[in-house]
Amino acid sequence: MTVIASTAANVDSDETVRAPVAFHQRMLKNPMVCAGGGMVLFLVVMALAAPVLTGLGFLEDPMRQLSDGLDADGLPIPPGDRFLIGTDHLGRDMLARLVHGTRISLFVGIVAMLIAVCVGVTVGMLAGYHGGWVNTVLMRGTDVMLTIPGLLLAIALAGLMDGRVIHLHPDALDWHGLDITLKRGLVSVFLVIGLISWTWIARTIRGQVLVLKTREFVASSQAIGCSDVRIMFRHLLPNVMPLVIVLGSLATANTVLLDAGLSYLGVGVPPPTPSWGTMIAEGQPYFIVSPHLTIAPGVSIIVAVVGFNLLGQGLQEVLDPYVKDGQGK
Amino acid sequence: MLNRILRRLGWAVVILWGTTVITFLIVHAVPADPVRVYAGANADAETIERIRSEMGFDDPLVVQYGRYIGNLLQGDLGTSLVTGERVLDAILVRFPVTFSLALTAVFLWMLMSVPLGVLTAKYRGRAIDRTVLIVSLVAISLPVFWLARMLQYYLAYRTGLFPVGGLAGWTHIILPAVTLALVITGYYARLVHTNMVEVLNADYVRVARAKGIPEYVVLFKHGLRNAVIPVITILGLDMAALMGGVVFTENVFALPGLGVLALQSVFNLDVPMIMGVVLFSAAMVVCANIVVDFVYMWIDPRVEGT
Repeated sequence: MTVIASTAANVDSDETVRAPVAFHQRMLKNPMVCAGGGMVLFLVVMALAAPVLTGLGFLEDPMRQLSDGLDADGLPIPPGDRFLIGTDHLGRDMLARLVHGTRISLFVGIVAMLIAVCVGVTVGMLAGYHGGWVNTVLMRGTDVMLTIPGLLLAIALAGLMDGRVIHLHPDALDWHGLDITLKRGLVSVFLVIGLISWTWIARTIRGQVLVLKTREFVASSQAIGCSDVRIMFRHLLPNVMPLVIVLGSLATANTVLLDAGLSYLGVGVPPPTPSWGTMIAEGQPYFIVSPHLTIAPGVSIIVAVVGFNLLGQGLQEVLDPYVKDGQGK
Repeated sequence: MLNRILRRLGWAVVILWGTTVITFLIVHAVPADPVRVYAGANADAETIERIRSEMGFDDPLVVQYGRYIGNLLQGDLGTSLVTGERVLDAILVRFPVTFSLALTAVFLWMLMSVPLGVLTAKYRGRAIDRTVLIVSLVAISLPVFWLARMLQYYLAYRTGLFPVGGLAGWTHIILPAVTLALVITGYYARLVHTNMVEVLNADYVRVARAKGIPEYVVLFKHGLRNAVIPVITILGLDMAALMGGVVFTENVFALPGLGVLALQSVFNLDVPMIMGVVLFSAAMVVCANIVVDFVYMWIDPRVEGT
């Protein structure tokens, strides 16, 4: 983080350069960074520790239907001593499912965010740095993507991906070594969410690159004959890095929400893998008798999304004090 | 003025063309086999192949795309593979529901976020500002479908204040629209706040105050009118995202709108219907953006010249 600290401080030459030491103090002093970072850290630890906790017997197996998991009427057991957050409609332990669900939600959210950030930063930097027709083509493409309702596109993509085989070999050849089966699962969900989430990252990065392009260090790199690729990756990229980190954190809030939404609609990671959105969808028919089936996964989603949003907004204040407060989505 | 409108319309056509390309590629590069669905579970291989060539699914993609665009230009979005209904008819029947839901939601959230934004800008850094900040941060983090379920149960089912679901009159739109508005209001309140803070520091606001103009006139006439301009831009950009929220609320509240239609047709692998709904929604977003553009010109006369 100290590397970022020094670049962040150097971005604005008018400002007195802050020593890297002051940087993490500023991070720790920011209440939003602390609260958001704490929540995210907690969830990450949960996600990593889930199999260990189950292995050691602190948590039940999230997939197993427990013999004492349903009451005499066959209804889910409400939160209590035996099951801290109760059991679900199949008699599986809710706490175990929630904790294991953290793994899927965070994993999908973070990988999809990385895809969105990679695409967004590449498109934004190319469009901003090159200008001209590259800019026109890329930004018009981005505008088209912004016009198509992303969720509809995601549902269509995710829903249609079920079990289609793509043949990479000529049809005449009876060889299937390179067939790719597009199955609804983790990979399809990453791709779908990543591919609809990059647009506003591209726009923001492009804006920043347009500003940076007019600075002397770019002109001097061009003067000494640096290649465009070198200027983009060695000179511009480190300077947009603080912004990328902020955008990445805010984007994760979005991708986690999208993952929950897709699972809720039944086009996410297929059951029985515990995922928060799927748990809400499965639990809601029992809402009147067992509201905990719907409320608990909902609260988990909110904690995760609030965490990433807080962290992102806090980082924005620390890394880029000149950004208007409260912006970014 | 005319020039600007023409440019907007030309741009709208380009965007819609881009949308057809993207949706066509996605729907045809990825799909599970729609012919198999159309033919039914018991069809033999021969029948499936016959239907495939009859419906033109074995033509090269370019040919299929050309045919699609040709039909589209004649106003024909195709027929549903499942119900045999014309896609455009199915969409037009459901469109008023989605439209009124979206419009009510936009109206509600602007109604709530503008006063909140002005208030928090006026009392910047005080308790009310902090509270609104925190509440709006939690609000934008709520999953729409979850909030919809909660409101449906506690406000509709338990207290009977609103209808639980379905569509029988305008009262059925209120709670779904409130759900959407609650999630988004916080974000817009922040946007108004940020721009208001900036505007209130401007010289002309200080002059207005020095002249002794009443504070509410300064806030709403000098301040808000300028602060709301960037917010209108964002509103145009958010129309596509609003469509996503509509999918969830319609599904939870069982409103027979485009969102429900989209989800059904995905599960039915109804390719023409999916393409129709996505394309139509994109067209709606483009229209909304044109409307936003006019509102923009009306609020900010300076824009006209550029």
